[in-house]
Amino acid sequence: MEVEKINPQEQLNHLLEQYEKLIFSICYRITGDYFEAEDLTQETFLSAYQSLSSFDGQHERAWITKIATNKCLDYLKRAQRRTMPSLSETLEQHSPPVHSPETDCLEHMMEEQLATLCKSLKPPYNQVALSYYCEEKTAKEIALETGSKPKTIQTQIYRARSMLAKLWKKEEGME
Amino acid sequence: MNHISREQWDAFFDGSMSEKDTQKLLEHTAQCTYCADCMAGRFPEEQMISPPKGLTDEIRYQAEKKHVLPHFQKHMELLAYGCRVTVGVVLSILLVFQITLPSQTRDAPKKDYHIAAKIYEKTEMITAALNTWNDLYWDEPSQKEEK
Repeated sequence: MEVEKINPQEQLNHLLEQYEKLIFSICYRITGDYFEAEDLTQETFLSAYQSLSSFDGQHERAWITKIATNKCLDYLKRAQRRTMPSLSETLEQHSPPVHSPETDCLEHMMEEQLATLCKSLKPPYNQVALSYYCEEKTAKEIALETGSKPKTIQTQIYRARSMLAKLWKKEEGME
Repeated sequence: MNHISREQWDAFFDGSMSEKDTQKLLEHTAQCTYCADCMAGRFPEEQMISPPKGLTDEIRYQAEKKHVLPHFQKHMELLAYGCRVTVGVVLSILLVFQITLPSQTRDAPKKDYHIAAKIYEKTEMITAALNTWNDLYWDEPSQKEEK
């Protein structure tokens, strides 16, 4: 389905609905880092959103995949500058293979790893992180459940995310 | 560069592709519509990874900010700048007239109207009022003691 000339917010919703999982998977495949993949997915959609006016509506999936690949390449170059090994070394270190038999349960393994990391955080971040990352709840839903203010939950998610990203990198030996 | 072959894709996805070739593959895919579509097609629905649910909301929120803020911010900045300039100009004019007008007017009554004198006059008044209040406050207990 190609993007029709409708308002940008609706176009973004359509892109998110169609390609969010795909873009996240591509970013995760290339970077091997759950939290970097999250950031890169966001950057990809925001870039796509900003260039909607110049997009001709043709080959939508390829268009957004190209944006994502560019974002990932930029990330790998930045990572290379920080850590000094060559870009290809960074790629080899980061990328989880997708179609090998061991990776059939890739998502399951990743979820387990995420859950372990979430549980290792101090309260209240552990519970918030578990709800957000493992139980797939939004900040609003968590706020409703816990009776806290949505802004408080949002702040706790940001802090938990920052701690988790560091732990993830440590576990994967990326730091 | 030619499009990426099926063998190359296989090598990329099973992790057996050399480092140099992987880099080339990504650089080519970032530019080539056909290969980008091939890459996307290599991710079957069942092997895709779900991002956290809150990411969708966050992207929408950030996009809305990007959409609304540039126009809104420009207007607000212009308005704030305009207000600052206007207030500055008005204050300067008032100050200039307050200081210079009486001394430049020949027919004005011969009253010393210097701003410093006025400030001194007001300060004296406030000091006097404070002294009076001070005296009253400290006198009361002593009067009680006398009784």
